[in-house]
Amino acid sequence: MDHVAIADERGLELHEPASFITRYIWSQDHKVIAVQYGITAILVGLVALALSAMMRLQLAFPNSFSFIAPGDYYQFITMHGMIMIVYLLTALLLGGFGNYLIPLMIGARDMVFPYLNMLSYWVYLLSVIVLMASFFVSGGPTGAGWTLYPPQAISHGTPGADGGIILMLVSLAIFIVAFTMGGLNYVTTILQARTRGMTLMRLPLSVWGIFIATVLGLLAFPALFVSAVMMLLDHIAGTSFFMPALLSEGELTGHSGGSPILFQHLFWFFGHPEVYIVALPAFGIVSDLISTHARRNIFGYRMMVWAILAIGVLSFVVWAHHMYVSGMHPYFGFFFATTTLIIAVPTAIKVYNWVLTLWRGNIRLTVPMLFAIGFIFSFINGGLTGLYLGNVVVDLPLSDTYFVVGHFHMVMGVSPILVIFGAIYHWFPKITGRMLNDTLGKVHFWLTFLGTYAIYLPMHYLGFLGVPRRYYAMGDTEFIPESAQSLNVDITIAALVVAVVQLVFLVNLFWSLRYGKPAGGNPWDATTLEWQTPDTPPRHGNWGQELPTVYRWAYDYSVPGQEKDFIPQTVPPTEEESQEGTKP
Amino acid sequence: MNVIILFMAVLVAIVVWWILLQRLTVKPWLGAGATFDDQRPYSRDISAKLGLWVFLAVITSLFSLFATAYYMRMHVADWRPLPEPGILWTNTFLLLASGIALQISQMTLRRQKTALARYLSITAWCLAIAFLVGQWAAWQQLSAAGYLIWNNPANAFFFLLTGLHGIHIAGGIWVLSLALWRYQRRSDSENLLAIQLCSQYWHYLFALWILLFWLLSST
Repeated sequence: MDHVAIADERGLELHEPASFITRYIWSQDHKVIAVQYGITAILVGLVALALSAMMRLQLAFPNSFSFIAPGDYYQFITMHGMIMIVYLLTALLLGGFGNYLIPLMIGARDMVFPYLNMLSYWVYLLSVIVLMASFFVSGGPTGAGWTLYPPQAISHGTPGADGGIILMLVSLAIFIVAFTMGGLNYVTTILQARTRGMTLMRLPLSVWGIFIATVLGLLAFPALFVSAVMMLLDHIAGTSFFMPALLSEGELTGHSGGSPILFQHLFWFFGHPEVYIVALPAFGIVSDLISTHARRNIFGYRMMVWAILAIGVLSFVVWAHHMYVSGMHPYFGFFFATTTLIIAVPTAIKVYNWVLTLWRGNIRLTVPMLFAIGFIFSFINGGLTGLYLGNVVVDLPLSDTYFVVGHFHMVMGVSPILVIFGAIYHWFPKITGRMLNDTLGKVHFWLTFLGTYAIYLPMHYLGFLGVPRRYYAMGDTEFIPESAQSLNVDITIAALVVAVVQLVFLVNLFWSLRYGKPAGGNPWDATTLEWQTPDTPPRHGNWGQELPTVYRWAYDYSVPGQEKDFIPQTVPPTEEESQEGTKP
Repeated sequence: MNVIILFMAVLVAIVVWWILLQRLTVKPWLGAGATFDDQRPYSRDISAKLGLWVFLAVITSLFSLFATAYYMRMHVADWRPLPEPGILWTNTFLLLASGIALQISQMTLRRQKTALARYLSITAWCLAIAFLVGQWAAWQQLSAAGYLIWNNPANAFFFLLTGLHGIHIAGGIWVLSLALWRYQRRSDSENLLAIQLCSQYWHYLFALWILLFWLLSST
């Protein structure tokens, strides 16, 4: 037995895995699995980053690179989008941070199904391998765009329509299996394995965000599974779920009667909640970062929890706002525009609460805090442009222009990535026992933050000009002025700088692993449970012989009349407090 | 569309009901102190059952989406309903019998009749295999009669939905096999949990099969 029981049995022996293989490879320890998830996701994310650099090169200097043919460009777009959204963001936030933080923050020894958890990682790795294999099949990976719309995704002539699309669909199906295994674990663990005194309303917001995002994922990913399986059958078994009767190269294909719109409904029924599957963990984590580094309790904790729940529910009734240009009954457009605008209300509540937490806080401009504040900026930017696009009449002219590219990169590309960076700087000391280098971290932050603005802000302007997205080269188009092309060059330069700056981050990771300043158990003076472990990094079983007991919520910072400016959740109440506690 | 909306509505109702039970309106910043009088200790059995129920919700979401797609696709003119092979009724009976055998097995295990319970579970295992064989036979009959997967969307949905349901049954059989394999080495309480989980899963898949059967013959 190389995993530990979760229940706190006194005198329990914690079986440390003995060999290298059971400790680091076939490990059932949630912390090791989290790091495995994290490393895999970052590696595959670097591939996607390289692809985006190639796309930018092509856009800035069309016809200068012989190795980027139009077909390649579409393959780069597709793989960049799919990898970043599913295999990097989803996997890193839920598989990585979810795995690491849930048991530590709720005071459990591990996930409730450790074996299933291990399986989840290995199945995820398999899905990544299958996806990467598509680079090496004949015809290359699919170039259908990350939305994989039929009929073009599986029609002759689209890049990768032979092997690439099959591997993509299979890989997605495998990923969903992996996610389901992980997700069952997260939900069950949060509901069942909380330690003594850890009520739901004492959970840190990180756990709330991850929890609701997991629930969304468990319900929404099946829609992607359904569309992937049906498209796979259309492609290899000749069915007509999505494929209408088509003339291809002068000949009728064997399909008839299928509905491409059906695919769009299924895809976006997954696709929109997916935005929140990525955003909610980021919301949760950033709340904790801001509160900890501003030395102030989170403003409106209950509102934050309710807002997460409201966003979770609403995210399932907005999907068709991605399909305004596909055509729909005007009342449907009205309905989906309304729900889309309604979802801005809980989201705005969260933004106000972050800002109000900073208000009169004792702000420490540490690297995690810089990233958290950067997130607030980029998220407000991306969120506001979302309100434009949520309206049918504004969306129609802007759809498929660079305005959309700018919007979604700001709101679900840059924002969650900034949170992920902040979270890595924040929890690296707990994971490894050493601090990341501060100077390198600040260089990394400023260049990344300003650089992403230099990339995406001008794209909104390009969008207003009507520059279409997904085009390999603009050619001689009358309505696109010369200045748009020079702007494209500037964007590319900024993008390349931002891409290279990520090397600073990687160097920092490796350097600090070895030479970083020893962190101690609680370098940020934080209150949550993961900083109160007896060992840093936490050992197998996390808590030594006895589980911690929780006496207070996660945000007792700068409590008046207290000696220190933070009170960990494990500290029993003082006399004054227990008298106060008897009041309602 | 109606099917998935109905499913989501039911789910939201469950979530809201759950939220109302959770006292999400307490003010956690007040009243530091011990609030664990009503907290029950960790239970492996409850966790396992909860895990299964969450999984069942995921499967429900999956099949609701398929049913939604089915209804949306059905209204296109090229839809030609296919005749249901009579063997499906036999299969339905086999699956029902399999679930009942597991249920009785669970009840006998509660009365510590370990050996009898084991035989009953083995019976259930055989019946479930028989169900899969029967489904395979139904596929063969349809193919032989010329109802191939690529001929018509109705055929395609038939093969797809029965196939996916079959895969879920096969997964259940795999878990039951593991439970039976370890049966004699395990304590009664461990066996009871395993058989209980299997029988809940079986009942769920039987109900799902009834709905699918009804859906597939409703054209």
